[in-house]
Amino acid sequence: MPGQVLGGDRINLERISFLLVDENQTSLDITAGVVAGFGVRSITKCQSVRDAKDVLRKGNTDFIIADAQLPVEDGYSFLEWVRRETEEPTRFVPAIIIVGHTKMGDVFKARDCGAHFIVTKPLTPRVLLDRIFWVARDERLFIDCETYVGPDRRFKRLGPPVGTSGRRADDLSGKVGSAKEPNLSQDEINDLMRPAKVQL
Amino acid sequence: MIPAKKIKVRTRLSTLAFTGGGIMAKDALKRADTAIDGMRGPSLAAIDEMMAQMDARFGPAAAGREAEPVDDLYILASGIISLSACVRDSGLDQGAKALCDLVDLSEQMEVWDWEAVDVHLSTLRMLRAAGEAMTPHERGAVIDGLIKVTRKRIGDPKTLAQST
Repeated sequence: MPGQVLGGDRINLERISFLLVDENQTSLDITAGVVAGFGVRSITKCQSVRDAKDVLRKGNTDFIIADAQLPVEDGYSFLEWVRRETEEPTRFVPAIIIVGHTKMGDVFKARDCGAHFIVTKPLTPRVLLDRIFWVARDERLFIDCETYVGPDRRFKRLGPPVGTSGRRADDLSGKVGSAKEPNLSQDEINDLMRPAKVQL
Repeated sequence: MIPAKKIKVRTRLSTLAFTGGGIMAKDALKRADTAIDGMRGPSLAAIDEMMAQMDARFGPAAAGREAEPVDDLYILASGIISLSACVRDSGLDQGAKALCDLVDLSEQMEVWDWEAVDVHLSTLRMLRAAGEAMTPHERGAVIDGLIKVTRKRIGDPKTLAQST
């Protein structure tokens, strides 16, 4: 899994087009300021889902940052529309939902909307840049099924929950079986640790 | 049931983000922080406007506050969280989050307590006025107090999670 961004890491977002969706103009300006600080030159700001959909229909959007709390249609439904109703490559566009507060009843919507990340407000540049780096390095498969369209949510690969056999064909059992090969001898272990001269 | 399709996707972001050029992360963060600092004035003005709306519609002196849609109180509190990026050291975001929790839990438990709302609103005013001058410990104690008020007057969210 890609880690946290370090100060010396470089990122080039000059040619990436961002679409920002937030009802509140000041909040929209804050997000735009942060994203512009990251070196993004093309930023489209929308205060409604209707405007955002128009922008997406024209294509050329590479990244979406949408507020969850939008009038008429919320950010989760908007992103579901992106994943289900738009053409490629727009339907695969990396997307982050930003949320001030999640109601208990909205937790499943957040999980199922197809976002790469849900980021809580107040927005911090560090967290947002970390997530953008993460998504840029992300190699998760996209899942398209009846109940969900979006990046694979089971990316941690920690195996199935304890006591279950798992649903994936490649899920390993939680049980540790008996060894199939003899244990390494101490000499073999020492060999693994021994410093070796390498040609660079 | 239709089997799930698994699609390997290479986005323009993945292709272009590491093509050389660009800027170092530390510089990007510095520029973004500067942008947030530059939004402090408009953010505070918008927060003040939202708090004034809260008081006018949901405060103790608001006549007919019982008739106001409580979802609007939630939206206003959530808006304060959004705008508090430039006043992170005031505790305002956490106070507003506590108010969102109160409204959300009240709706779930079907219990409403105006005194709990009043405590949250007056605490938000206090955090707006003096939160940045407080120590993290003091702010933490204030937020803990709000959480206790919600638990005492409305209930414990854990019991709700267990019952659903």
